Amino acid sequence: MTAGQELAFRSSASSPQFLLSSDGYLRMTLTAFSAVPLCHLLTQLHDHQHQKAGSSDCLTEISGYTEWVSRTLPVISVSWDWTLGAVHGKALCRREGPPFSNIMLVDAQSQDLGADRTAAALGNVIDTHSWQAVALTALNQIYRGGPCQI
Amino acid sequence: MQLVSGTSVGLPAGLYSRVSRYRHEVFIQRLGWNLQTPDGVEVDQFDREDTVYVVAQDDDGNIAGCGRLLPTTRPYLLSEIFPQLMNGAPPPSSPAVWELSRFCAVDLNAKLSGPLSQMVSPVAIKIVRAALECAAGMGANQLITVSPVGIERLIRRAGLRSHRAGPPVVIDGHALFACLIDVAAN
Repeated sequence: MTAGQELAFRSSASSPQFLLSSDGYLRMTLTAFSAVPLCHLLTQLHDHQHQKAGSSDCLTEISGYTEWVSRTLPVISVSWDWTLGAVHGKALCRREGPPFSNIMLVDAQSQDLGADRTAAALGNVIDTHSWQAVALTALNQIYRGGPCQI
Repeated sequence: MQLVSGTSVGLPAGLYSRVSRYRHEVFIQRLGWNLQTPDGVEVDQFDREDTVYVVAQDDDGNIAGCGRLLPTTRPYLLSEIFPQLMNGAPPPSSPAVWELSRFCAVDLNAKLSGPLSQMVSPVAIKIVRAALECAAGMGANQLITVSPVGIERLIRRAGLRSHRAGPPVVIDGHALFACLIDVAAN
């Protein structure tokens, strides 16, 4: 993990405080989440893409997932699916679907927003940042020389 | 497709031994897990008298998938082998939390069925639902499972809810994490 792989959601001199609940969730406000820098952990193709990549199929669109973590303890874990395709002749990598995480966002009164609203809000934050280059660079390093060498 | 559940002695006659052979074929022969197992069967210290099995059989009686439920009030896979997946928290120990392990849905008779296809398998979804129902009947309100990240997609596709207990950890080349599945919400 290098500094270049850090997705700075927002620079923060001090990490916001959040607690690990007994149900496994890290509860925090959206503001607190946005203040935590996330670091790239890994990016992979989806398993069925591994199988295709090992064959002679020609892929017109590939998909996978990317994992990001905080450097805090407890660790924030956020993952989302992505697709890489071509739009008007240009490669476009974009998030697909709500992210997966160990976060439950709470409002100012510390009330849970619920799983759906939390995922939607996390997705909105993710979409404001340029994660694609880091993820695709990591993927390229894995598959350098061809996916058959995995 | 038929789903049955029970302890090793509660399952229909002969089914438990067939499950252990099925698990050997899936986890040892196909997935290549490096486990010390007796010849031809896959069992470990968590296959006990109180372990509950969920087994899917096709219309011909062939095993199409299975799962294993363990109470977290006694030693279980995550607590003993993978506590590092808990993000610093102690592994659950509660009658309301059961562990789902050895979860798989591989049709051994299908020519094109690879082990990676199980995360998109309708049988896998049926087994998860059966495990949730079985666990609910034993007083659980949450399942926990050590799984590859693909299980989140499977659960979402099934319209079920889950969340992570912590980040994935790469173990033996596989990204594994502790997944919490809410029994009550599902």
